Amino acid sequence: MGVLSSNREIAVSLSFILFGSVIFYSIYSIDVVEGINALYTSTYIIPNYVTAVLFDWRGFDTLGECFILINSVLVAGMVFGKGLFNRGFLKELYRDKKTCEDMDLGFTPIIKVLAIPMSIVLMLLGIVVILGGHITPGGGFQGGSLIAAAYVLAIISFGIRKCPINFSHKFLETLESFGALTFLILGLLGMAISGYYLFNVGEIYGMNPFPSPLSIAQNGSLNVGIIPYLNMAVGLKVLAGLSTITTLLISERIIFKNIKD
Amino acid sequence: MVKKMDNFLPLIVVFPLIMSIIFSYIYKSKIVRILTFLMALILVVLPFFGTYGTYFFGDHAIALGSTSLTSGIAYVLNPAKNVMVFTLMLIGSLILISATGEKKLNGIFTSLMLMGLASVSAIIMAEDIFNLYVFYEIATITQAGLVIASGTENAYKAAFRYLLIGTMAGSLLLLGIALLLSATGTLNIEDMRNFLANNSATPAIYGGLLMLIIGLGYGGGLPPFHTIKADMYSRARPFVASMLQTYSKFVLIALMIVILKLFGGLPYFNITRGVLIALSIGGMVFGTVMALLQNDYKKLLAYHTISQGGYVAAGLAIGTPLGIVAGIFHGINHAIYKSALFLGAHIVSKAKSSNMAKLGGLLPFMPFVAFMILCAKLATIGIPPLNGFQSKLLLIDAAMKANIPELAIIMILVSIGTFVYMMKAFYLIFLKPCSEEQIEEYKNIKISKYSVFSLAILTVLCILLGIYPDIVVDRIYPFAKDIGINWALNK
Repeated sequence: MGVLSSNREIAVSLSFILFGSVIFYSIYSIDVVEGINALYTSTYIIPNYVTAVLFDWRGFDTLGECFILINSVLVAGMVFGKGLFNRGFLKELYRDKKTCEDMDLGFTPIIKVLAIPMSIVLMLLGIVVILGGHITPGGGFQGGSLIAAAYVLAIISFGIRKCPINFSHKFLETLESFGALTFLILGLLGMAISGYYLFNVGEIYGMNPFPSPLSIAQNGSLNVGIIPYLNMAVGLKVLAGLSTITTLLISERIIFKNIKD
Repeated sequence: MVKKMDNFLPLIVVFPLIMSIIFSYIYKSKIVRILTFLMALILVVLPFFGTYGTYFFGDHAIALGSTSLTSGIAYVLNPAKNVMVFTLMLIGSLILISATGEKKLNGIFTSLMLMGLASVSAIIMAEDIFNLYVFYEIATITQAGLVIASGTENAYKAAFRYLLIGTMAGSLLLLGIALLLSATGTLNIEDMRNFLANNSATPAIYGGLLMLIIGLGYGGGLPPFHTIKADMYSRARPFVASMLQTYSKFVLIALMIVILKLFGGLPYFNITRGVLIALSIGGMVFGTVMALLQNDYKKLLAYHTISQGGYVAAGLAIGTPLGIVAGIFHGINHAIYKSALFLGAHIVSKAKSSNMAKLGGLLPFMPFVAFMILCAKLATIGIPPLNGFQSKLLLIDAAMKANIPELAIIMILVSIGTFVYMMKAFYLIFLKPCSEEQIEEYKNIKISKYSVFSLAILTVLCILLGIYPDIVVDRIYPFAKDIGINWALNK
C-alpha cells in the first residue's frame, strides 16, 4: 500500500509539474493581439466601457453568466432536498435529529452593534453601485454581491432567527425569478423593435428609455439605452441568488421543511 | 426604425430559459404536469423558428473601419446544426413526456431539463467561443443537478465528484479561451480561424489548443474523464441518464467541430489529430471492457455510452468530410438508440431491480417493450437495417479512406464486444427462466404508457434512419465539406 501511494504521489507531482510548466510557458509567451478590442475601446456607448462590453457588445454572454448563477442556486436547493424524486437519503441522515440547529456563532455585543449599521451602509452602497453601473465603475454583479455580503454579515453576527434584516426564502426566490425574467424580456423587447435579441434600444416611440441629467453627458451623448435596466435586473438576481445560498448553508430548517412534505 | 422581425433564432435558446424560470418558481404547483406536457410539444417545433445563416446578437455585426472582425456574438444555423438541434429537442421532448408519467414530477426537474436543452442547443449553434464556454458551464451544472434529482447517496457522491472535476476542467477551458483570445484578438470562431490560418503559431495558441482538448474530454466523456461520466449515468434515474448522455454527445460533437474549424488543415494539427484519435480509441476500448464486466444493467449501459462516445470522437477526429459526416451521424444515431435503451431500462427497473442476476423471464409480461429494446440493441451493435449500421459503415469507410485501417479494425472488434454484452443483458433480463415468486411479482408491474410511447417513437426513428439515412446525411454533408480536411497519402 505504501509503495502504491508513493508511486501515485510521484506520478501526480510529475504530471503537475509538466502541466504547470506548459501553462506557465504559454502564459509567459503571450503576445497580445489587439484585434476587436480596438473597436471596444474606441467606440463610445456609455461612460463605463466595461459595462458597455458586458451589456451592449456581449449582452448575451452576461445573460448566460446570470443563468450559471441561477442554475447553481437551483442545484444548491436540490442538494438541500428541494424537488428531489426520492428523499430517502436525506431522511436517513436526519432521522435522529429532533430539532433543527441554526448556526449562532455567539458574537459579542460589540460586533452585533456594529454589524447592522455597517450592513445598512453596505446595502446602500450596493444600490448606488447598481444604479450607477453605466457611468461609474460597478454594475449589477458588483452591486448585487455587495448587498448579499451585507446580508451575510448581518446573518453571521446575529444568527438567522434573531437577525433584524430578514428576507424570507419565498421573497428571495421571487426576487431572483423577477430579475432573470426582466433580463430575458428586455432582450425580447430589443428583438421586437430591431429584430435582434438584446439590442440596446435607444428610443421607444421617440422616448428615451432611461433619461439622465445633462450634467453627466459625455461626447454630447446622453442615450444609455436599456443598460441601466439590465444592470438592475442582474443586481436583483445576484443579490437574491447569493442570499439564497447563504440561507441554505446557514440553516437546517430548509431540509426539515423539505423532508416533511 | 422599427424593423420587421424575420429571424426567431434566439427563441430556440431563450424560450426554454424563460420557461425554466417560470417552472422553477411554480415548482410545487399542480399545473406543472400539464405545463410540462405542453412544453414537450412546443420543444419539437422550436428548432424550425430559426432561419439559416448567421445571426448577430444586439445587431453587432462585422465592424466597419480598419478591422473587419465580428464585434458581437454570432450564432450560425445551417442544415447540419438544425438536424442536431432538432434531434436534441425531440429527445428532450420525449423524455419530458415520459417524465409526466412519474409520480413525483416537479417543476425543478423540468426547469433543469429545459436549461440543459437551451444551453446545449446554444453550444451547437454558437459561433463565439466564449459564449460556448458560458453555456458549457450551464450544461455542466445542469447535469449535476439532474443526477442529484434521483436523491440517493451515490447520486450525491457522483454529482459532487463531477462538479469537483468540472471546476478544474471548466477553469482550464476558460484559460484556454483566454489564451486564444490574447493570441488572436477575437472570440469569433470564423475570425479566429482566419487569423490562425494566416499567422504563425505561438506557444499561447498551443496552450489554448491543449486546454480546448481538456474541455472536450470533460464535456464529452473521453478518457481520462470517462469514469466520472459513467458514474453519473449509472447513478441517475435511467430516463434522466438518457438525457444526460444526449447532452454530452452533442457537447462532444460541438467542441470537436470547433477544434476542427479552428485548427484543421494547419501543419500542427497532425499531432492533435493523433491525440484525439488515441483518446477516442481509449474511450471505445475502456468502455467496452468495463461494460463486459458489469452485472448491473444501468452500469452496463453507462459504460456502453462511453464506448460509443469514442466512436463519435474517432469519426470527427479523422477530419475528412466523410469522417465528419460519419461522426455527426453516429452521434445523432447514438443519441436516439441510447435514449431508447435507457428508457427501456427505466421500464425494466419497475421490476424493482437493475441487477441482471436477479431479473429474468420478463418477456411474457412486456413483449412489445422487449421487441423495441431488442431493436435498439441491434442498432447499437450495427445490424442492418437499423440506423447504427449505417453510421458504423460510414465510420469504417471513413477510417479506411483516410488510410487508418487499424482504427477500422478496432471499431469492428469493439462492435463484437458490444454484441456480446448487449445480448447477454437481453438474455439475462428477458429470456432467462425465473422462479414462481418472481412471476407473481412481475404481475404487479405497471408500465407507464408515456414511457412506452417515447420508446416507440425512438424505435421508429431507429428504423427510419436505418432505411433512409440520406434524410440526415445529405444535410450534414455540405457543412462537413466546408470544415473537413482532405488528407492525401504522400503528405
